[in-house]
Amino acid sequence: MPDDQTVQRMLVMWCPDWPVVAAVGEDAVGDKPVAVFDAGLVYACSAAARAEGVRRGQRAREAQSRCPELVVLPHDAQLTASAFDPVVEAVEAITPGVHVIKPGTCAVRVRGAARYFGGEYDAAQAVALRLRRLDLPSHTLTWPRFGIADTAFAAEQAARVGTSAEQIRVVPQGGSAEFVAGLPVSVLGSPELAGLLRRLGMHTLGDFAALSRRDVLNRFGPLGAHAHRLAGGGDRRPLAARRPPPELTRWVDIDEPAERVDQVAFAVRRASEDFVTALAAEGLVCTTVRIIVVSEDGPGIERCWLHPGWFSAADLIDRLRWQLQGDAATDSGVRSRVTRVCFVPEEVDPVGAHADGLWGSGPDEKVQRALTRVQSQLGHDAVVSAVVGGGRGPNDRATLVPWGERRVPRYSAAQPWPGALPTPTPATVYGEPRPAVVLTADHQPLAVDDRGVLNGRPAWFRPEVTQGRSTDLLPIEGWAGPWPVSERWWDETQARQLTRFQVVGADGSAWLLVAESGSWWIEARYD
Amino acid sequence: MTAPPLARRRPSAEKLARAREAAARAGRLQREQLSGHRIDVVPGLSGLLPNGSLRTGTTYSVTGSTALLAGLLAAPSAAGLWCGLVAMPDLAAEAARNLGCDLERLVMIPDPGLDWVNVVAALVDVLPVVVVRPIGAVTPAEANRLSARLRRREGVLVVAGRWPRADVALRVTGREWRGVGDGYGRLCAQRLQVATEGRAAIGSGPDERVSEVWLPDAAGEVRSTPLESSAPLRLIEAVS
Repeated sequence: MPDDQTVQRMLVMWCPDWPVVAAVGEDAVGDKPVAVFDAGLVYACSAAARAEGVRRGQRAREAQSRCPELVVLPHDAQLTASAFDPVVEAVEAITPGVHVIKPGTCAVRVRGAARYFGGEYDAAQAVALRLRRLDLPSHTLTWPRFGIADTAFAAEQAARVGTSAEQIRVVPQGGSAEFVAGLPVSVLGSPELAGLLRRLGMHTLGDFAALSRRDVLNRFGPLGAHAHRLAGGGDRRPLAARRPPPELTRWVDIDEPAERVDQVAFAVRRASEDFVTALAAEGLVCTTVRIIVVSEDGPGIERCWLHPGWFSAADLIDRLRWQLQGDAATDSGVRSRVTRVCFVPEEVDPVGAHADGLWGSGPDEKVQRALTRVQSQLGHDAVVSAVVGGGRGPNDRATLVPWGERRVPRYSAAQPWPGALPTPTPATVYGEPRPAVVLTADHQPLAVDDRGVLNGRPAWFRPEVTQGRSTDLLPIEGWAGPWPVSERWWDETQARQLTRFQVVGADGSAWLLVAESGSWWIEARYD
Repeated sequence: MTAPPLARRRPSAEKLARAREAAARAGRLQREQLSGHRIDVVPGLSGLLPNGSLRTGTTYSVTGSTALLAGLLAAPSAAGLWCGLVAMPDLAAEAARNLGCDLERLVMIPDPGLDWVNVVAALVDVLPVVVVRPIGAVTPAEANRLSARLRRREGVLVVAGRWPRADVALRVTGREWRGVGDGYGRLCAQRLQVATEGRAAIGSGPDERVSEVWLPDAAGEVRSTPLESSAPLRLIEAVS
């Protein structure tokens, strides 16, 4: 029973097995059966796979036993959603106000298009024709199917129910209830409710709709009442039409392929100002930007930049310059000539979130501005901030992050790190361990074997590099160790076997020594 | 300068006021003025500093211990002041954090290049506390310019090394680590003997004293300790 005052006829377009289509993409799969897996279960499968007996929700092994030549692809939700965007845009070109129900299914009000094309069937045919020109990958034979009915739910079921020959199915006005009455309860989309209804003896939506609304609300709650309304051919869900996002990306074609960094910067000056102005016109500021640089030969450089505040035109030019320079000196040329530059806003914030304080900017803003100035003079990596994470050695624990970037440690602090140094942590940690010499009491080099057994007592120690004094042998007053560490034995390139010692010299200085592959190093100094 | 009218009733107060005025004028003429706002440090280290706290507009020179440097930064950083470290790539961020620094407001410039004095000056303009390890020698003229800027901006400069005409110099003269034996144990406590040279207030003479501090003690705290004459610390020769 439709409760709405005016009936809005809905057109629903359904692309069968859209996750499979999106995952396959451009690959030449031919007629092979394809299945998309998510968390070890089948998420979607192609028609060929279905013919072999693969179904949604099967485990990987079962699916492959039914169909040995199954092509297995992982499920990427973002790829599936973004691959659907061109399709939605094509539908929007015919009728605006498209509502994406999920990737592969979208709904739109059909009244306007029906008046323009002279009928609902003709409107659906126009959309189908438009999509055919879109060059969807045809090898999986997933031509979209259309259903037109009073409600989105009925229209979706109409689209699914038809055979492959019948691409467009129109349910006459007022006939939704009769149409859905014959469908099984599993189409409601809630397996528990469907199972419960089957156990209660109701196998079709018609049986379910025959119950009284108040009884259903009492027994099943609001979700059941909603399902009951759907079964009766009504649908109260408001559809949010998609507003096409404004085109904020800026492309700049550089007329003469530029060789020097400042030439490129000069050429894109205007575009960067347009970029910031266009965003401001929408009431937005950009906090993360992706800069794509396309050069004449070879792939371009693409990099994502974060900003502690928001990007102004000068900041964008700075980031472009750093991206082109890489590690090179300031005024060098680019490796290959640049032909296009593109600014893509990745994250935007409303302007109000970044407004300056009422009486000028706060102290934090002043500091940020001064630091970005120093950064533009010395280089992006010159000004850093430290973040402490996990790790075993003293050098692994702190990560230096360029100012303005997200502070993420290299190793996670949440994971256990057996063999990590006990507190107190040394105050001076050398970025590169310095070589040292450790001798036993009779001046023989001290050695540690695989089992951690020393060949003598450490008695003399010479730090090769110390604070400008002559490097005499320092007698060792106390020492602790050996603390053996065997890291990442499963990885050939990263495996390390080392032994740590704490050593106190006769002058009271304390050092953290490491013995690795027969040589001694100073990792840190406890000063 | 006219004497305040109240002085007619109490002649001795008038003389006192004039004497105070003269001392104040003399103090203003002196270069080494420690008149700035207080910046508190952790209670364990306040015994090392004249007046028990850092003062804005002054330059401190700390030689012999990086942990002492980080300890001086701990309380200002935790209180919300921005701190900058210039040319100190070896200072462990974790040690600073364990002593109490807030790493989100700690800016590091590990390699400022040859123009490091200008980088320090640029940071002094915006950050209340700046720490630097001098890469080369600094001329007295540059040092004076930096001091003038410090006083104007009410900042503190802490130098890890020698500095010409630093207002307060902290020098580690003795060090002892406890906890490690002959092949067993682990380092757990450090006792430092620190010699302070500086001026406490206007008009007072140079203040020199030696104090001892646990940095950290066995429980991980920083606290001052009375001088123990029974257990002499090992002397460290003059460090660069």
